[in-house]
Amino acid sequence: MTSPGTTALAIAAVIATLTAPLTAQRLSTMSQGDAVRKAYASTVLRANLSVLSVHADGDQRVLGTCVAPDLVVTKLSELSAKDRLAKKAPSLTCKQGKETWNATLLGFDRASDIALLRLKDAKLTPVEWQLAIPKTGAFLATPNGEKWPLGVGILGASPYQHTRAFLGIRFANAEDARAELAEVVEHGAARAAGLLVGDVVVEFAGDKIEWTSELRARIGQCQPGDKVAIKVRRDGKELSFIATLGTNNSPPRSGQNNSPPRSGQEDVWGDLSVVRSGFQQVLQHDTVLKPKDCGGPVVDLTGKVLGVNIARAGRVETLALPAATVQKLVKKLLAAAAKKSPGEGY
Amino acid sequence: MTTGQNRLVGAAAAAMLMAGLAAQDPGQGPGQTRSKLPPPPATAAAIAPERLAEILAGDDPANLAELQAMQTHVQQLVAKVLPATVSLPGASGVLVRRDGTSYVLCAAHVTMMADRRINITLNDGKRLRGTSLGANHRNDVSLVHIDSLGDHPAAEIGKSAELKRGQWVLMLGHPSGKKQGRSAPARLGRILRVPKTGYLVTDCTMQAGDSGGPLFDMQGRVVGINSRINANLAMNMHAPVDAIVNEWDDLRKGKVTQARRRGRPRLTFGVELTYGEGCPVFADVPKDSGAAKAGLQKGDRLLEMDGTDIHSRWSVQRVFRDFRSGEIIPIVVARDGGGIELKVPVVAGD
Repeated sequence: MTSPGTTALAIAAVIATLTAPLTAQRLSTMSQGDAVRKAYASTVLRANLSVLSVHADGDQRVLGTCVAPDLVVTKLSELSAKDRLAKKAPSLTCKQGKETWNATLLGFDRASDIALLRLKDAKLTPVEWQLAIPKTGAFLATPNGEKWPLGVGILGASPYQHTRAFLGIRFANAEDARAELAEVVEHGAARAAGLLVGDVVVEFAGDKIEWTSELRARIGQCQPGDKVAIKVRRDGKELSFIATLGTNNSPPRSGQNNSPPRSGQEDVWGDLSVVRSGFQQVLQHDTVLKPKDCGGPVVDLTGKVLGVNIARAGRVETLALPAATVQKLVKKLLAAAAKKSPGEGY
Repeated sequence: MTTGQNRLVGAAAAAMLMAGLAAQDPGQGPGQTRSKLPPPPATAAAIAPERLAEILAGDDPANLAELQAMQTHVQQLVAKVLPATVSLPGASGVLVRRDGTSYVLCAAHVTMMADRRINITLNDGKRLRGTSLGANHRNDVSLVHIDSLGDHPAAEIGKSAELKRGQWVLMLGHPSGKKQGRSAPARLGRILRVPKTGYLVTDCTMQAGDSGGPLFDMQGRVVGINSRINANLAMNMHAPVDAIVNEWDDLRKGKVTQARRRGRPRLTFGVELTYGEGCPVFADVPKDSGAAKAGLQKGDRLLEMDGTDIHSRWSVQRVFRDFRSGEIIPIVVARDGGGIELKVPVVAGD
């Protein structure tokens, strides 16, 4: 017998292998086609004045959102990716139309993956924020300076905390198996609770566990910091433990904080952002974007900016930080920058 | 600014020029800047209900007024269908009611078989107990009986045969499984294909975990069940709901229909044949194999099968096509510089 969760995964994976090699991530010509995006033209007019492209060492990496005449927020992890080995800060520029500004990194927040840039001698038009969160199903557009938006979609769910809880374990067999622990990760929640390699998890937070997929699904419903009772079978005896769930399987590595491992379905996911989880509050929408299209604003039908696209997080989800969150972050980063010399900590 | 919109170059340049002017104008206060900004999109006048119906049935919304009307409709629809959208461990489903009993419509690859205990979680976190009934693995639909008593939410069942290409649809499910604090994300898309048999195709992007979840028409009726995806983001496949309705009694009684095996089994000699330069070589011929009993030896090179010269994997499979498992195939192999004729049994592979 195969367990439900893994079968669902397996089927998708099989279909993926049956098709031709992955071509470029294509937009649907129907729901995201020219005819539909054209109707959004008036919604992006205003926001187009506040969207820039952000370049590191001459390459366009992401989009940026102007929050004050000379301040731009963008997606941090996409800026540093290429230069991590060189250990050298990249030279940053922002472009809008034919104009180019030199930018300096004023500060950043790794948890939100936000970077704040100061543009030399810039007098740009900042975005007009939309602080109220519309009802689920609201129509959204992502502008990139063109007449029609780059992509359109709907708000899929109310804002939620996009974190993942981890027990810090790995299984020997991915599917079709008892939840026997093949690895108990160092510094992980399971290790701290006293679980050992070879233990078979039989109960998690009061629910009987038969299959690895059931345990995965249950952990997925928890939040980091949750205290859960776990029963395991070890040498024929049942033992009980209390684990406090953590935020990741392994301690964060630089530039890769909180990025969950991909689930073996890479072929069907399209291009995803490297940093795509661990955000405090996110808006999830179904606009199909490329990782380099993040960092820019997302507007509703009033043309106001609802938030900043922060990650392409899955085949189905693009995540945006809500306007209020971005405002708070900018304030915090400006206050921190005032206390220290610019560029420090990069 | 970014690639992929070649047709828009002229228009884009105009927009950028405008942006550039606004930015360059020196010494402007915020108040003055504002006067040069494009006007915010006006709250457009309501459109006729007939026009909205036309759009929902497959037209492109042409302007802001039409988008706003559509948005209001979609927002009401999401609120209406969300309570009936449920999660199963690692998958999704939708509650319906028929003859006074609550059921979950789901995918066969989720419930797999009858008489399994299924835990169901509603959008508000309430949990229900269910038991799987029948499943049809040919079209990937299944039914779950709700054992918990009470008045449960339910969605209406629509008719998938009446769907048209281009028609707008709403899809819900729990991608990557249910997450605390997140309701089943709604995705809007359109019907791309309504085949006579097989899966509906939409551009509502799905992901593992959405399996079993509902596809709704713009009236909030279930018209499809999420089934599978491929690498193309616009290839999202849903089992037509008619597949459940037409087999309702069988599914309710717990009938499980297995998937049809595709094509005929691959035929082989029952021993390993390696392909490289020139003729294929029998790399290993175990003593107790049928091929060994027929006189085949390790290292023999396959020259001919049934009178046909063999030089590639393709030609081997071509000859096998005329045979069936259990039949005897005459072959010629090269051994020690000479050709040897043998009669070897055909075996069904894999």
